[in-house]
Amino acid sequence: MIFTPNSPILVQGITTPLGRYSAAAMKAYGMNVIAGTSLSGEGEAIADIPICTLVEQALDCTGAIETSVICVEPYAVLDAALEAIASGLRHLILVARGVPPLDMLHLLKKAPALPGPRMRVSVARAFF
Amino acid sequence: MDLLEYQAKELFREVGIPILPSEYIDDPRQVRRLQLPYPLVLKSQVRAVERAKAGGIRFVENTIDAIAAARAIFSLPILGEYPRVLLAETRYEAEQELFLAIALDYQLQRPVLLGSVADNLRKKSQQDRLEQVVVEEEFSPFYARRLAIAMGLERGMVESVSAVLAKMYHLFVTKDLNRIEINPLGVNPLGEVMALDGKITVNDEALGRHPDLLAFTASEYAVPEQQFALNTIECRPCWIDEGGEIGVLCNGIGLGMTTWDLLVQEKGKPACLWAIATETGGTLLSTEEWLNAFEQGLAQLAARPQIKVILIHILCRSTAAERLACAISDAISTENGLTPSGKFRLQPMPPLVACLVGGDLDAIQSQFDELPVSWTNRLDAAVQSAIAFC
Repeated sequence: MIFTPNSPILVQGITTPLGRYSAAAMKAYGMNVIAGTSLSGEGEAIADIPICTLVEQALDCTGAIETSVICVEPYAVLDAALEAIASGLRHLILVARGVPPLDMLHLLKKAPALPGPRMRVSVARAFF
Repeated sequence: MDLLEYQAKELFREVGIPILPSEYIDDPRQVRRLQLPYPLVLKSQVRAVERAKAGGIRFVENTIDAIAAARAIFSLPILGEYPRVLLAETRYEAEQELFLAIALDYQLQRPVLLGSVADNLRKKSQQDRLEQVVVEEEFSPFYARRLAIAMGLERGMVESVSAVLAKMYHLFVTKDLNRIEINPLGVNPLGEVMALDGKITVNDEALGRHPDLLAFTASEYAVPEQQFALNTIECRPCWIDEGGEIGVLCNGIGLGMTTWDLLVQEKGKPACLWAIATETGGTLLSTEEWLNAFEQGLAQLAARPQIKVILIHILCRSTAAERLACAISDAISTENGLTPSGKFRLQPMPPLVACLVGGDLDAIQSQFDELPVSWTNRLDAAVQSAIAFC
């Protein structure tokens, strides 16, 4: 998996303030943001990006995605990441800050043990 | 967040770690109502260590001594902290004392179990002092047994000590702790163990999902305020290099680091970096707040005498670029020492190089061409212009 400017991107938590801002900014800057997930379910599309509740629904709508930008609130990051992994995504970018360390331990422990292409988890140190 | 001893022991009681019968009081007069048998230990509940040396732990034989000791302890600050609560415990004769702790090792990215026999704690080197067992996989009590054996305990004690460790680990994981420590774990002549003191540090980020632990803090310890209050955004410079000449203002630490690196690579001398992130302290700043902070940052940079040019590097959406350009022009132009927004400024602003990525460069250049600002939307060009000024 090679990350290019055209790689399709999923934004998890797209209706959170951080998600709204990030998705709109990324799209305006030219990234290929093709779907978003939100716990409040389908709603108005943000910057013309379709929104679903589950990651697998988003994949059904739009096809294969390998990269997810996770903007959910901090205590939900582990769950969002596990859902992304379960749906086959292998490149996760965690933007939300304040994730408890023990949650990160779970995630980092899980990452290398997965079958398939090598898993990459990046933590955005600050937004921009 | 550090819990006090009596709060930590409350958690120990919930999971079944043996503790002494105890009560806590918040006033010396309540000593009379204690239901515990004498002799007692009265312990000052503060966050400092070494309470005994400071006089915060006193043994008392009867009520009169206890009242006097309680009065003394309540008025004794240890490392600047006065106790609000005193813990009274029955006295315990320990034949042996052990040190047990569980902490998170960030380098190994795993929790580690730490333990030692009391005599070893006074040894000089760290390796002699503590035994360590890394919990590589899912925890199971055999990790605790490994530690007990490494500490050199006899067979009878291994089981009781590893039981305590297993319960400590359970607390560690379920309450999102950074560290849990029992020092000392007393062992009496019959081989039974007792937690004589407990120290628990809860991870601040995780505190929000443990309302019971938040309740511990409510009475006495204000949860730290958000770093950036909404009205007065306190900007601080990120890096300062006294010998530098170029001030850098960015809307994020990552951008700032990139700009700084590029300047150094091109043999420029950056002096000071102000990074005003759009998302700070967990909240998104509104445009007004951000622009305020931006103005402050610009003023602060201009105030430094060593700075010969200010390089502004902002990544923004095209709609915001226009407003930003207006803000920049407002910040520079003064009439009688006052900027259009009413701020007073004495010194002239050094020349600015503004790299606004995401805006309509031609429109901005034509609108603001009289100002002493070089507008560009490429960082390398901006870096070269900035260096040319020095």
